[in-house]
Amino acid sequence: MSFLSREATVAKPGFSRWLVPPAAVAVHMCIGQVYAFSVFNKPLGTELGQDVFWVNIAYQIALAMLGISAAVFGKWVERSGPRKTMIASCCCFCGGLLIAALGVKLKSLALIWGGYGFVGGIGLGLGYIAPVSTLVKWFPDRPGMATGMAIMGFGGGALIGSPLAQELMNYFAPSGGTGAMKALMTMSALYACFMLFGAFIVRVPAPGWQPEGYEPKAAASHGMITTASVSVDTAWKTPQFWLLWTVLCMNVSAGIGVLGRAADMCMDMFGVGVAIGAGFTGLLSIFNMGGRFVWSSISDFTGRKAVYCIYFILGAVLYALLPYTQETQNRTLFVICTALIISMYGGGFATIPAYLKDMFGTYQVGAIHGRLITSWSMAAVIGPLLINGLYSSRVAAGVPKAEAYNNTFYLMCGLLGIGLIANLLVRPVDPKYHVKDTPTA
Amino acid sequence: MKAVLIWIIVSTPLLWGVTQSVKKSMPLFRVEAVVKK
Repeated sequence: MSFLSREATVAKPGFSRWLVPPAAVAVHMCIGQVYAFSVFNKPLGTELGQDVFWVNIAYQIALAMLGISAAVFGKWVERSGPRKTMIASCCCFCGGLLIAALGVKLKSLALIWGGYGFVGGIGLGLGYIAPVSTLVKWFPDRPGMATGMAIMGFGGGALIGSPLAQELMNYFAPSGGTGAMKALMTMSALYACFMLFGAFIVRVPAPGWQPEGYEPKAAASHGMITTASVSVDTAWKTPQFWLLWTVLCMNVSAGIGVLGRAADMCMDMFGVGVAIGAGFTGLLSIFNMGGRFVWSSISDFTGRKAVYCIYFILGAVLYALLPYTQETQNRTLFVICTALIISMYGGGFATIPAYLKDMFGTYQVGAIHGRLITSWSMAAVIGPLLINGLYSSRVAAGVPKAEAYNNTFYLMCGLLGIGLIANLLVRPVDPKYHVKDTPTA
Repeated sequence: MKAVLIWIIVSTPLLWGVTQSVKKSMPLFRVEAVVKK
């Protein structure tokens, strides 16, 4: 098993650190498929004779397991190193797809929930946090850009997963059924190749390694970038952890406000057809992916606190503008505003690992990130609940559908306001929480 | 050379995904163009 151990992945002198981000992207773009699960809703519903609602529970279990497994296995991930974790993630995620395929064959909804949702969801959590601490250790000078690349891959996974599943089902459907079973099996094999490729090429830096000419910026950053370290068990007892938890939760909840109902919103507000609504969703997906890389790279220059202030202030202004775009039927302005909002939603995801590294150091940043993304699971519940609830109540009160979203937009402004306050309250971690003999790399 | 090859292997599916999304979003721009005429 030595090939899988952390020691076996230590880079030899002369290794190019630019080979590490592709390893992270390879894993993230596979597990990002979860965002495209909805493409299987109808085919699986047809195969199993079940309502789409029950099939979609698998997606919700998977997202819940992502947060839970990232929080639970974070310390194991830090101990085991990225290669073992990526392979474990591959076994769970691709195994989950295979179990789901078996579920289609045996017409068992429980196997789909257990396979794709539970087992696959554990793979999502492991794969999501696996490369984070490795990347921040390789790129202490550009942690935002490095983790932004990986998390951009997760956003890109949805862009790949949906058309890939559709193409495969179209290909296999003539041989019987909807083609979902064979599509799931093929995707499992394809994703396994990429994830194993990522696990094979990933390396960790040798202890004490630093990029040439790199000097920690702690002094210039007024303590907002620490050179000390905080352990995961201590980190979650600090106010900084919970402030950042709130920051991520509010940013994600507000982004889901647009993303979750994008097509319907566009059709209701501007009276356009289904094709335009779908086109709008496609455009937002690109901005969701691109924003992850662009905004987190910008944060390396502006600082993490400043970039989150931009997300919250600019986001609130843009949300406040949306009712005006509907009133004036200005679709171009609507598309620009929502695309920017979604780019900052993606940016929020991608910038948080670097923010954690700034606050808590690199020692157990992957495990701390694992615990923090429970806020994502929370936001995935809060966001849609608030938006759908408020929208439905407005429609029930007789407000025209085109205007029923307005209060939702103002509510999103409020959520972003809470996030802004939490972000402004973030201060350097008290030195009493620091690990005494600071481990490096 | 090795680094370039690895980047190509990883970027190709991503670029394919982006292309598919761009294609999907085309109707949005087509209608905008018609409205402007």
